[in-house]
Amino acid sequence: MTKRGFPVPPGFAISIEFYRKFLKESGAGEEMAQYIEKVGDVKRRGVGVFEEMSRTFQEIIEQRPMPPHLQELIAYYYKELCQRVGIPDVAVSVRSAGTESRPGMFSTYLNVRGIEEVVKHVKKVWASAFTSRAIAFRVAKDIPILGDELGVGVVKMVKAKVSGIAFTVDPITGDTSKIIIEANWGLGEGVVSGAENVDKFVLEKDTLKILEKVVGKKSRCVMMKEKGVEWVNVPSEKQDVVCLNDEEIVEVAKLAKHLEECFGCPQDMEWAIDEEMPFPKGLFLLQTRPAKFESVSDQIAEKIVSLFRDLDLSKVADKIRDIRFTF
Amino acid sequence: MGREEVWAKWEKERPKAENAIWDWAPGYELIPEVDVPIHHSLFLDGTHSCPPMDHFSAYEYWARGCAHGMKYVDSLLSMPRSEGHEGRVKDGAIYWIYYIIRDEKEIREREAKFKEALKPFLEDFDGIWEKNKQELQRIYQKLLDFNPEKARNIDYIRLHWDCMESIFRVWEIHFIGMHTSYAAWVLLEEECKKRFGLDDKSEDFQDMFRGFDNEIYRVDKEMWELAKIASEMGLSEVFKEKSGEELASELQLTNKGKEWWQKFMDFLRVRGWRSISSISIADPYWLEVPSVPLEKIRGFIVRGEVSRKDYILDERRKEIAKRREAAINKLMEKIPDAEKAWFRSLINLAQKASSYSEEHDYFCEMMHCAVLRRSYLCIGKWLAENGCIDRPEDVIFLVSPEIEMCILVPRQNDMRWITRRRRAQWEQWRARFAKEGEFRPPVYTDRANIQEAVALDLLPSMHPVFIKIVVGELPTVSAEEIGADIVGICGCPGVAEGRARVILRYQDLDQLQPGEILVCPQTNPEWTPAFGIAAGIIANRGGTLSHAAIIAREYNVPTIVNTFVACEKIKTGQRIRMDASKGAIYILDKEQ
Repeated sequence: MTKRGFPVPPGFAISIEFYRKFLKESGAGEEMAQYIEKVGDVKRRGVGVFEEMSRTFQEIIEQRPMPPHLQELIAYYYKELCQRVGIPDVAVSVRSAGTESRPGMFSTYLNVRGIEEVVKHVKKVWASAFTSRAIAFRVAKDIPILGDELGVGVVKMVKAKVSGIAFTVDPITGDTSKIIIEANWGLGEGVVSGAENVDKFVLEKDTLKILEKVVGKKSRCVMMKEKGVEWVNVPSEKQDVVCLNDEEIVEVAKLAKHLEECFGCPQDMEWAIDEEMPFPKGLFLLQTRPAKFESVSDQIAEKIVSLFRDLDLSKVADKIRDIRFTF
Repeated sequence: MGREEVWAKWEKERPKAENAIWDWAPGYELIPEVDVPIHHSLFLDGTHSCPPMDHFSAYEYWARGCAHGMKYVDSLLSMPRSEGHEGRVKDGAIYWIYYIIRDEKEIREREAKFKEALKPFLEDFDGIWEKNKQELQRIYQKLLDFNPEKARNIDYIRLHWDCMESIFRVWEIHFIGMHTSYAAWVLLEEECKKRFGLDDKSEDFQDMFRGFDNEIYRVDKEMWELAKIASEMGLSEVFKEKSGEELASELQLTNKGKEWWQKFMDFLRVRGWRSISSISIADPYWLEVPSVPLEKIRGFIVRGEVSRKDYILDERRKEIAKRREAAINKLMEKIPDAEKAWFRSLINLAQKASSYSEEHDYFCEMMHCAVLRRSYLCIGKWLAENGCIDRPEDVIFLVSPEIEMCILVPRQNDMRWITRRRRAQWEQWRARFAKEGEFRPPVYTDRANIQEAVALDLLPSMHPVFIKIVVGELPTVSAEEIGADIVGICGCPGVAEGRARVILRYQDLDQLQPGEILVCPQTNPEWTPAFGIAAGIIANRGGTLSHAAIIAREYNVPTIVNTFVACEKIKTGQRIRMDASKGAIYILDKEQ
């Protein structure tokens, strides 16, 4: 996650290089490579082989102890983070951050406290590159099985009053003139999972004018508990109330728009508003990636190809009296 | 034996000569016995081969250059079923062979690549065309920078190679814009047919593509402004009385005339690099024949258009642009929300087809031909001065390798035995064409008939350019079915009634009176200024993306194209009525 003046919660990043060191020094990398050799060609072997591979790899990563000096490094940065924010054993989210974004493919763990838990969940993030789905994906795309090497972001949990996502393109139509925001009470999981009925706002990107406001029946949301997070019921008086005021909507949209300008392509971002900080200070960027959508030109190109495939010109030949080109 | 006798003897005995297959265009001369069994059909390019072409233009510009452009761009974009076309020359004509891909697996692979190749153009057509226009300007400027006063033989060979390189590159640029914008047009038409029963001849469709400026209209406007200035300077009478040819000398007789002439020359220095045909380097460009633009300027005065406050297109464009937006909104209302974004984008792209059709003509054809002609006349002068050919113009009877051979050492080469023979041949073709009309067969084929040849050897290419200009341009009803005398297709909707004026050459355009219905073979940008006063336009040839239609839609003049027979059936002076939306023409007083 880059910090080019974007409001990200304090935290630190664990590099891919660090992961490679773990693989080498713990022996996990060697063991996984040997296993792959033993298994041989996986392309035409059915789903079972992926599931077995997944179990094996995840076990290897999670069982092998973090080499001491790597453990010390993580502990150092975590302690420094706690001091920075003035909270001992501060609650953090431990998020995957790969060099290539695959939305939803790798794991994020919320409300993790204490160094032991942090290290445990860092390894769990690494291991999430080896779900059977992820392995199958790589195999299908001819990417090496050990190909997805993940970075990990360790970021202070935002005490979120409201969270959500923002797209700087309409993912369904490919319309790049709009910004779409979805929001719910509590943590972003309440929106990202796509399960619940949430508030939706549409703005015109150029002018940041609010074009549409749809208030969803927000019956449930996600909140922090002692460890981890949980789904809870939203009090009835808050269910039909819009969870963002106009000022907040525009502020979220502005953030999304700046991200798009920074990265040069439409973004799919996750944000949260801290309940304790004065707005707009409390608006945090949690995650962003290039939005996956079928662009308008994609759609048109696809239709042009289909058209010329299906055009039936057989009836026309008979009508040709004279084939001089009509310029 | 003297040289001339040697040549004459060889000419007589040539058919029996040992290696005599090709003389003019090695590999490109049409030999039916060899070409037909391999390629099955070769189609005459009737538009560009009339009148019969000189050898350089046919071989270098068309058979090599145009074919290269098409092959190159079809590969660049990975056209699913087409690898381009190949040219053959015969009797001053170009014949095309279409390279059709028929293997289904290969077609699928190409489709995937075609889809990706299209996207940059869908996203930024204007940006790409703008860059290409700049490249074209650089190419032309480099050629124009050649200074014959200071040139030595080594500079001449470089000029020749630069010209040849430009031929290939300009044809590439030419087709890049066409393929992509025409593909969008055809797609939009199909979508409108499917969803609303509209095709590209209906008013609601055509209105979406009107109200756009382009370089050709800007030039017309500059000429109108010069006409206004002439009128304000009191020169109207001179213009009315003298023809375009006479004006050049006439204007030198007065101070006002000379003053105006300076302004005209300033205009011509920029705009004069414009071939009057854009087909062959045998045809002059405006700087050589200022009578052509002068005739247009004169036309504005004769037709009384200089009394307008604003240029006619600027005036009409406001109205037309409103209609365009209304037509688009009307259509968009019927499109489901989820599809609005890409549909609107498709309309934008299809609009490019209309404006690109005009602009590429100006930048890729008219300018290029003029600059090439100037370059080769320089080369021709160099060769003629050194006794290599009889006169500078004879350079058009040599082809590239021959030019290459003699250009460094013109005194050592006598090319007259080639140029005289080919000139005689060309003059023979032209004379025959003038007398008989099109004497070259429309197709060489081993298929049962022309319909089968088209069905098997042309249409399966599924090429948006061919489809747009060859297919789908025929009236869907016959004249009898709708009770009309002649039918065609709608170029620009509207109804008109008036006296017909049949004009076969644009040089005779000053005969057209305001309110008359112009009847012509087909039109090109040379005809544009007349569109301002005609009540209606009827053409023998043309399609919805041809000049007549595009220009008519900007001038808002009811137009019917592709009638095939209008010039023959209608007589000047007859009262006729036309309903362009129906494509119907009624001759009201048939006795004349």
